[in-house]
Amino acid sequence: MRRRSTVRLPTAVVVIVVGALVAAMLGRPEAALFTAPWVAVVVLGLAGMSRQPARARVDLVADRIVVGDDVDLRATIEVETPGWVELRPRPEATIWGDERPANERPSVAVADAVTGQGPRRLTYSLPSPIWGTHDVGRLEVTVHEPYGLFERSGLVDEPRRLRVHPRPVDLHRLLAPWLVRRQTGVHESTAVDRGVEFADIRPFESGDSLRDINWRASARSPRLLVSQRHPERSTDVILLLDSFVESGHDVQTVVGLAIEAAVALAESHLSLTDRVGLVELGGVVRWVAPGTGRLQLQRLTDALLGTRLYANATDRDLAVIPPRSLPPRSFVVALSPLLDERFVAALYDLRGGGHDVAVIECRYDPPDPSPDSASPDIAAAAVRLFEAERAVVRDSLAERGIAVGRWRRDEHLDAVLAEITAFRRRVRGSVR
Amino acid sequence: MSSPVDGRLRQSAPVRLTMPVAALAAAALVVVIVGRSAETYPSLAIRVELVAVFLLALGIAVRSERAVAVATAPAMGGLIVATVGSDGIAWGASLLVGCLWYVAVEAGLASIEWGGGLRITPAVLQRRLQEVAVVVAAAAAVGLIGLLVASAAPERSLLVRILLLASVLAGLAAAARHLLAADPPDRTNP
Repeated sequence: MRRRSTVRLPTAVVVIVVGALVAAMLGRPEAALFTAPWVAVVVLGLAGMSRQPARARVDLVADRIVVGDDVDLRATIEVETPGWVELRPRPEATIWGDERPANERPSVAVADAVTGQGPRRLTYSLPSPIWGTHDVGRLEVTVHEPYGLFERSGLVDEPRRLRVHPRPVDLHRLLAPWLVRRQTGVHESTAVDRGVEFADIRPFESGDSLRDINWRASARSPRLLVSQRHPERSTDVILLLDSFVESGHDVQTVVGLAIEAAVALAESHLSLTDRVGLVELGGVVRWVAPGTGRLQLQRLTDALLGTRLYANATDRDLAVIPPRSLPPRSFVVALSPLLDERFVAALYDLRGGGHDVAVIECRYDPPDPSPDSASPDIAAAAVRLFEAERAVVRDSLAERGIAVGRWRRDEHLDAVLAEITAFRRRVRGSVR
Repeated sequence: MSSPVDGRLRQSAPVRLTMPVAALAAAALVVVIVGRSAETYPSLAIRVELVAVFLLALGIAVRSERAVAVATAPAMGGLIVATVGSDGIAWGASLLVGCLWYVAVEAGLASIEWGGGLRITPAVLQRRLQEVAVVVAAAAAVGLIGLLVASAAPERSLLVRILLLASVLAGLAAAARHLLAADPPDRTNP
């Protein structure tokens, strides 16, 4: 931290010198008496000034929060002398999702007294940032030394990574996969084996368990009949996130919706012993191999919160992803505004490759044409054309057995899952 | 050690308003005292003091620390004008004016430093008040020493003047030496 004198020191020096000169030249001690407080403040300030440099560090009280929560940070200040400190957080400009100039950003500067005896911990808060991963370790610290003659100021710039989770969405239903693994789980399999759900009745054969005999059906038949059941299996759920920049200025909202849904789905499927993985297809291609458990949820959440949007015109496909991260016959749940052709093409490829695919369309509603615009008719026609193009995309996906549920922020995700489930029930026999 | 600072703490309205009001009140008192103690040119002394008050108020309004500091010049000038032509020495009034003006300047600077959305705790206010009180008490002690020195020597003698200038020069030299010695190169965080 650099020390510099405040306006008090030059003021005091000038006042003292001028007062002494005037008193000496005019023979009026009143001028010298006027300067008495300034003499006192200089003597006391110089006597109390610190010789050791101040130290400061910043720590996050909690490195994970949910959108809407304030960010609590703790600054530890070590100073030699009593005084007061001023903390002015300087987080990155995009933490609140806009590019407001510095003087218009929320002011969160705080000041507190320090005793100069041991480290002093000061807690301050930042207003709730948008979802994502942010660095909030930048803090401007000003230490005001005794009597205000000097101040030390410096910028603490230590990386302090804050993860802001989207608001949790409680799901009451889940999408049932068409394809399952051999491991036991909770999704009903079409295979016939030991399980809970009734599948069919067949004649008793040697080796069948007596517990499987269906006595009610056997009583009406000349032969013994046994019940067959569907086993419960787990599945591999791959969350396919669209991070192509195609949503105009509302991109943050649209991707935010996708991430909100992805976190909710990951949490729900992981709680049901499914393996969940993530593939991000967009400006960059990233993936997290499927896994289970709380640690996997944290891996997925961290990857989702690290999503960045890069404009990229190159072709992207899923061929680069290793099979372990996109297992054959896995259940792919795509989260996308369906605005980028490359992403839609990837969905076709996945379906063609034998994956079970469903899409949650994070709806981007184009702004209503303003009646004041020069050509409202043309603007309205453009909106209709835009909607028509998207309807074509949805129909094309539906033809391939890919269910599309449209989700807007004001709707509950359960309603979208119900819409997708209904479609998948209708087409299950015809497209599998 | 836990801190009482809450980041959501709102700076209380009394703190925001008290400092400028205190500054202007102290400055107004200075005008009154100087006006009363002036014998030869009271109106001129008051006008000069009013310039100081105006500069102080302007500095607080536009958040300029320099303007607040510069206001000290006319404040001292008004006091000197007030003493011109008088035979006696206004010890008490001069010391009182000096202390009041110091309080006005400190309050003005505090209102600037604590403005701009800074949320301060009562501990900061308490510390600054304590420091100002200590300075005023020390100033009284300095004035007393001056009075003793002056009473020991004939009034306005050359010796007193030389002593005064020499002590100021010695003090400034000591302060400069202290400053240079106390500022080693800082290689620590941040």
